[in-house]
Amino acid sequence: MFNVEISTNPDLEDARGKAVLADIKMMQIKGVKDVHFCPVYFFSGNLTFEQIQTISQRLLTDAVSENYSIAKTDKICADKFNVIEVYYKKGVTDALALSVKKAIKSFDLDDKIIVNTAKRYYLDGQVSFGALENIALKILANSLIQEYRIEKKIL
Amino acid sequence: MKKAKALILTTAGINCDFETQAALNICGARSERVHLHELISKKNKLQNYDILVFPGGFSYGDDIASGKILAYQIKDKLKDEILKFAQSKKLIIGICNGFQALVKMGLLPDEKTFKQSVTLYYNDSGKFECRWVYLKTNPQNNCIWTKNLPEIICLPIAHGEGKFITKDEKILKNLKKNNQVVFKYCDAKGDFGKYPICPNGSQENIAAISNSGGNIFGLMPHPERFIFALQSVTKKGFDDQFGWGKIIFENAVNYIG
Repeated sequence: MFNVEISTNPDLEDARGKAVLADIKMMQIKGVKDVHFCPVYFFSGNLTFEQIQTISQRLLTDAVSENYSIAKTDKICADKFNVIEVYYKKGVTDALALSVKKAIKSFDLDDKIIVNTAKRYYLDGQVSFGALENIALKILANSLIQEYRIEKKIL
Repeated sequence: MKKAKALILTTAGINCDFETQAALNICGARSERVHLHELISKKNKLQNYDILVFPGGFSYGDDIASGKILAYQIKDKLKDEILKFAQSKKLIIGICNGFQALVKMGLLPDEKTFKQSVTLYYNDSGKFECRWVYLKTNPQNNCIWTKNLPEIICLPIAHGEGKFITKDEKILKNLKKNNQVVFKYCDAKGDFGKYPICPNGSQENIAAISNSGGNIFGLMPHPERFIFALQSVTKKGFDDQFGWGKIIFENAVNYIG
């Protein structure tokens, strides 16, 4: 499995992260200083690192405003931030993943490749697990169709 | 006088194609809505037209990023066709989502490199901005589409990803040096300012650019939504009847004719 994470260039405003931060503040949850938003794409099947790199460069990343990183694991690194990842439940159509799958047809890849997506939020600050769960449930995820996982920052 | 033939490109998620077709036809063009796959499968030939329009909408549901998949598909399947069309000095316009596609495929600001050097990113406000804005026109610009416009016009916008950013300072400098900046967001008096005057946080309030030849034009506002004065909240345009969008499309039609 490959996991491609897209992030906003650090010198640009992360408007989607800022919008989440504003919602958190409105809920009066204290301790969160900043939020960074990263869309994540999971690819599994017969793919090479070079192919994933090409897809990431040509399709998934904006050449001016974004960077990408590729990992071979779906493990979340929480050494600097608290992380909440939101993804669709099994059986719910992941429309973004379907669009990516259609678009990568031109890369001459194996038809059996599976694409999934998630939204990853990096939260800076000291927050309890309960507060993170509250943020996930009340702001970030629609629990009817989505699931989430939380990685609390390693202290 | 030759009647301008316009191709309005449609694909999944495009929703301003009918309105743009009506606007062009009112201005004297003969326009057709053509699906992207008709061009890819060669059922229809791009070179048979004088004007190519990338209309507004939400192509492919704005998946990945606005205009990204459309830009990728065009670059992958129609690169030579589009380049031939652009370099033969025919006219191209990208409106909102169409502008996003044009910059992401690299046709703007420089069709010769055909490489992305600017982008339209998420609005600083983190919101979808849907309202009327004032725009200051650039009299030094040689864009065929925007001749005869007054110094300040107003047009509606509707976008979540309209923040214009260049890859580096050199690109911005070149855009200014070549007078490729066509519109800038301003207030009613023509003064520049931050949000809400600039709805998205664009560099130097840039709302529209052209290529150096002036035949390729991309803008975030929707000129097709202001053909008649009645379409505006103020009910004011020019000659008590028309909106500024009409001049934009008429310029294209008259250039061909």
